[in-house]
Amino acid sequence: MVDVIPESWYNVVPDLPEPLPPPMDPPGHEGSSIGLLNEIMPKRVLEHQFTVERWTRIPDEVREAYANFGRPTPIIRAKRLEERIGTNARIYYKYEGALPTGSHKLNAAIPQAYFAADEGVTGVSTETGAGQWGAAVALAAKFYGLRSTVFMVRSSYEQKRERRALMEIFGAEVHPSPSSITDFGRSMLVTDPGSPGSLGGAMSEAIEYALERKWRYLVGSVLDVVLMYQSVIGLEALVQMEELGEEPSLIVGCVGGGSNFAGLAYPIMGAGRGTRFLAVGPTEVPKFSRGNYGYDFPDSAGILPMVKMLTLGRNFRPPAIYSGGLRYHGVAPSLSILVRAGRVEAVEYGEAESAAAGALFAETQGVVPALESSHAVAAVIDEARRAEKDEVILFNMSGHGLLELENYSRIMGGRSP
Amino acid sequence: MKSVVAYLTVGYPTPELFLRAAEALKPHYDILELGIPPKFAKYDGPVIRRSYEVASAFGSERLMELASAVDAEKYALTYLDGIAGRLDEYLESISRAGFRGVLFPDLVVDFHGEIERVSSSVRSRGMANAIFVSPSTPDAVVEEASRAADGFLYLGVRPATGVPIPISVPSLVRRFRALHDGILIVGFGLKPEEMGDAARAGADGVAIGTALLDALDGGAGVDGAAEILRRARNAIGE
Repeated sequence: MVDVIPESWYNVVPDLPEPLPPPMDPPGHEGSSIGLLNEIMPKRVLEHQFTVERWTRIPDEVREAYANFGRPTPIIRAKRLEERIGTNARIYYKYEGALPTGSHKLNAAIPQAYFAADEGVTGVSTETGAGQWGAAVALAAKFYGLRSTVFMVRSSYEQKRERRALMEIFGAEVHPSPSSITDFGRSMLVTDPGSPGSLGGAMSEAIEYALERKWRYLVGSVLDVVLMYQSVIGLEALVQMEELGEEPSLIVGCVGGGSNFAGLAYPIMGAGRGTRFLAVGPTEVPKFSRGNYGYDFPDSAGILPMVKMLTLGRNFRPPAIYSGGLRYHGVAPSLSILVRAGRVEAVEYGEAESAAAGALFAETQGVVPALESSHAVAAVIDEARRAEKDEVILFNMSGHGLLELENYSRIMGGRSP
Repeated sequence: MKSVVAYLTVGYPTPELFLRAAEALKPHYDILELGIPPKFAKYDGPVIRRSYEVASAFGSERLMELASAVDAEKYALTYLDGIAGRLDEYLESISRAGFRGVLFPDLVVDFHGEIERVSSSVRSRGMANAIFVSPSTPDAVVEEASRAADGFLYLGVRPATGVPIPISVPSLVRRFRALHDGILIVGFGLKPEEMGDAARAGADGVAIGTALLDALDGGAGVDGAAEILRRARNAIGE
């Protein structure tokens, strides 16, 4: 089975239809926010971000960790769902929820923690909204003997106790953001003592924390390098679909920043396979339908260098949907280019219809999708209903929703999936 | 024969020192890139951005006079953004100032549908095109840029000038070498050992900019700048 795990990651950038605009320091900026990356990110991660090659060898230690945590993840045919909706298509899903932290996020946390440990630092920090990225970082850090500190958006910290507990089981120190242990957090608390926090604020705290301790800061999405680390999903899927004797024609995934969609879709696109690629965003954060293509900060705090992407603006305040992973204001730069070029189609689904689709999936397949992933399920069901005979749909079930069952109930008016 | 490409911002740090440096460094460079301050140098790092602020105070007419006074194999470096609407007029003035060619760092990234049109305009005035590409330029676009690069292809290996981001220079040079048969110059924050790596991986030359400006503006002066270029030449084995 280990052979299915690829030996190299795939980077889509050399195969894009047009140039990827480079990251940029903001106009009028005195120093270099690109230079700041040097102080906070593991060197090898930066090297992978900026040494653009189609293939980058995965270190043996990282492949072993992937295997240790359950890669390759399974590809499963959703046969009962097919029957229920009466489709001509065959539907397969790549089940990233099978990873121990319950989502694809571990794929990018493992190499970053490995490279941080390899350069001799003692700990890593990061921010988390819903907690999936934080849990992945906590586990990856523990695996490589690193300490970890996670700044969790205060509203999630208070509501998602199980996610918090999971991070703590993996040894992470979890702080609600804004916290009183960083200058940035304290300044936020002075302005607004009851602040529910934000992902950008938590990110600022995590960066400050890493800088002070000479730790490393780990990045969860959007950067090309994160999308590259996620390519294990699609590379495995190519081998697995071949073993099944299937040729996927439609590839589907939900999009927060773009890493799980890209992880599945890019390697298939790069191999010249697949006919249609469908990215699914949330109606409540309409970055595909209403985003502008331009330079913007990837983080709401404006610490990281600006990148050119489809964006609603870093100050966009999304409504309080439960799919925390989809509340992000932008679309990864490479995915923005592919959407604008028409190579990737984009649709948007609301949270209620997505949760209903997720519930149908749970009833028929037994897997409760993460609310984020249920957006992909909703799109898959619609596509399958109008599919021609023998169409093969492959989608990324980027995570399970077992730690957010209450949210399902709330969205569906008391009815659990 | 490997080349050393020196970069100076026209008029920086002062017009006098600029002219002295351009002349005194001549034995140490093969090609001289002269930066003409743009409206917004979005792909440059802090040192070159600052040099543009200082230089732009002298006014564009004076800067063009200064550039004209330099007798060298010189390429004008400025952004297409802001002059795209008056390209012909601009190329005329560049040509009159005796430039051998032009390099627009934003041509491929921001105007990639116009590579052919812009490079033809440059060529029709008897000048050569140095085309800037970066690691995030896709292969198909590199091939298009390569066809237009009758001067040289300039690979800026880092995301901004003078920002010491860790990268693998040999991997990048090998990728671009395989896509371009003509002259390949590599630059953007190269350390001496990376210059050697670039040459061994197939680059035809290296470019040095930020370090020269730092030397001219700091205590090292023209002699310090000459030393930097000498070291570069040693590093590439020439």
